[in-house]
Amino acid sequence: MDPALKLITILIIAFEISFTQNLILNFIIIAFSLLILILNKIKIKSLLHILIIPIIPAIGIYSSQLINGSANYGIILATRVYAYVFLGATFTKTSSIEDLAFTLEQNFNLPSKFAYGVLGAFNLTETIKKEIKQIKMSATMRNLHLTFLSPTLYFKSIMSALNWSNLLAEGMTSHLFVENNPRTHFKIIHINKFDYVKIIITIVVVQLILIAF
Amino acid sequence: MATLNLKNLKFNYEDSKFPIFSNVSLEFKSNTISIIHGPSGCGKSTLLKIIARLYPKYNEGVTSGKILLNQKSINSINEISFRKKVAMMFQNPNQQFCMQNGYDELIFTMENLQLSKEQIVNKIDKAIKFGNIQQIISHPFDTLSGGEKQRMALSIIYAINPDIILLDEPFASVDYETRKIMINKLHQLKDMGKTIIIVDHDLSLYENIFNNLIIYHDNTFKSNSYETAIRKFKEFQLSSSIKCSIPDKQPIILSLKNLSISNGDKDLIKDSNINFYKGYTTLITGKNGSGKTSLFNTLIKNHSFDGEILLNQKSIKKIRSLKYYKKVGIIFQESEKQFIKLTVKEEIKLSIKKHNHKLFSQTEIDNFINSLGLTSLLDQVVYSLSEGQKKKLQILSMVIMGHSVLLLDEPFEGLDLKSIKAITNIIKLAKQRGQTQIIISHQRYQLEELIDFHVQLSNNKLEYKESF
Repeated sequence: MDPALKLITILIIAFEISFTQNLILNFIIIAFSLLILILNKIKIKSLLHILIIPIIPAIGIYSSQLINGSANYGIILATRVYAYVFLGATFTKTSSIEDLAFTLEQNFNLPSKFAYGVLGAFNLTETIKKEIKQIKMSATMRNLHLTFLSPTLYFKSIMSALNWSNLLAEGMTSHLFVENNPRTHFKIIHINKFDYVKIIITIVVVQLILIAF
Repeated sequence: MATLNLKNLKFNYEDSKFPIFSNVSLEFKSNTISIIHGPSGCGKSTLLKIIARLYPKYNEGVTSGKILLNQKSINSINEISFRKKVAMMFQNPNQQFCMQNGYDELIFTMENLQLSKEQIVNKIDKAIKFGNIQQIISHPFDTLSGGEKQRMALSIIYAINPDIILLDEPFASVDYETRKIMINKLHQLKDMGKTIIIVDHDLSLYENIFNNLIIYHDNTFKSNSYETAIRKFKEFQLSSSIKCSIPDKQPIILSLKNLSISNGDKDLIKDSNINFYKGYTTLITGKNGSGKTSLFNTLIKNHSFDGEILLNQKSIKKIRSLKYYKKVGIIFQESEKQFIKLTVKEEIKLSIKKHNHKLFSQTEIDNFINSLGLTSLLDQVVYSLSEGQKKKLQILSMVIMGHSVLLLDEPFEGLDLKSIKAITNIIKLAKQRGQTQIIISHQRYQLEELIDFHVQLSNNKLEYKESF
């Protein structure tokens, strides 16, 4: 399925469960996402990751409802957290960021500077991780011990990220990227008509579940 | 075919009254190679970026004067047609790439040129042949060596096929053999009718292909006569090979036993044994991408390895990083990676305050700052320095730290002869006071005075040699 259409579908579903209180729908979303993840051969490690990490907010919300609200509502909120996480995971595990950027540029008239901005932003997290490791090592060699609480660490990484974004713009210009200028596309992404049918069916099914339960 | 004229060009930073350069009037014709030469920080890179119309857009500067491309002011030409005619290769290739690997970067560039899919495939084929980049084109940039990245960057310029080619220190990190091959490629480009302008500190191997040598003097850039140029080139002729001794029973500080390292699926070093000796300077040489920097990364515990590495007879796997980095320091190939503080002064102060061993007195350090030409830059932000100035600050800050073992990865890259001399003196003094140094360098000037031993990395083995 086209990554942009997939993202839109997921956003619509997430929006809907934010404003409805339907425990069964939450469970169906979790189960269905899990099925998709397993069919896409998700690694056990990543699966444990998305199962364990949301426990903290889920329990937090549930227990606060238990004390100050109703336990039933608490369960709905806790499963909602999991539904969000699983919806997000089905997207990130089954589509590539490059394809998302390219389809947004080619099929959704997103200006290319934003499409490459999306790409840049995703690469940035990796860059920042490496940057922090690098800064820590350089600092240690200067007998300066930066922990993850040291402001210097964040100040430095923000400084280099700012510097990097300026350099990126300059680098792109040097390789003939000119804003608003037409470009050709080496990898052409067509949206399959069947994708629209899939979206409509998914959303209709969600409504039916909401009405039925 | 294109001619470029500069008329009374002047440049200064917004907050400074003094121009970086002024009165620059030069002509560049097609079918020629011009070389611009001058000390670090004199504004050579700035000049190229102004010609490439990247400055003053991407820095805070003011220019005056005229730049004419085929007698037409460059500012009157629309952006994309200008970029198709004039292309520049940056000094630091990392700053020029925006995709993950060479293949994607080429596609990105060719898409901007609005080529069809077939044309792109064709262009990529030609670029691969030109730069001999088949082996490295689909590897992520961060796994490539400095020299490989420079080859990639030049191949992309070739694919753009501009009339005017601007190259900023294009061969700073390639080995001597590759430099020969690449300079030959430039000759081909010249014969195709291109106008080529190169900024380089190192003038070796250019004497047979250059048409014009431009030297920075008295705040301006001026063309020189053929005779003056030839005299200047003579300074850069390399003595064929320099003799050095093979170590024998000196005290050992670092010992590598059955060491193997690899980069992805590529074996770099296989089952090698070698010792490094206390209080000596060892030079490591090897072809681009042979694994020199990976060896350094291994020595700073930043690359996995098989076998054993002993520092003073203790396995480095058993020494905690905090303690290890007090003993072993590295000068990274990319200067910016080293900086912790914001300004030049703070950077030097940090080293003075936090040193491991006091190698130098305050007077000596003040003298170093002076001889490296950093005095007037003390309040400047490190990111705003030229590449050469960054290098000098980086080396000074790390040498002051007084590590027992200092690894230097291409410490002379992008430096003029005067700076190389000043740096050599500082490093030599540190050695006299007990520091062990291991150096990777393609640049060979002044090395004679510094190097005690030479280790060559070839065919996945490390071996001591009698000359370099």
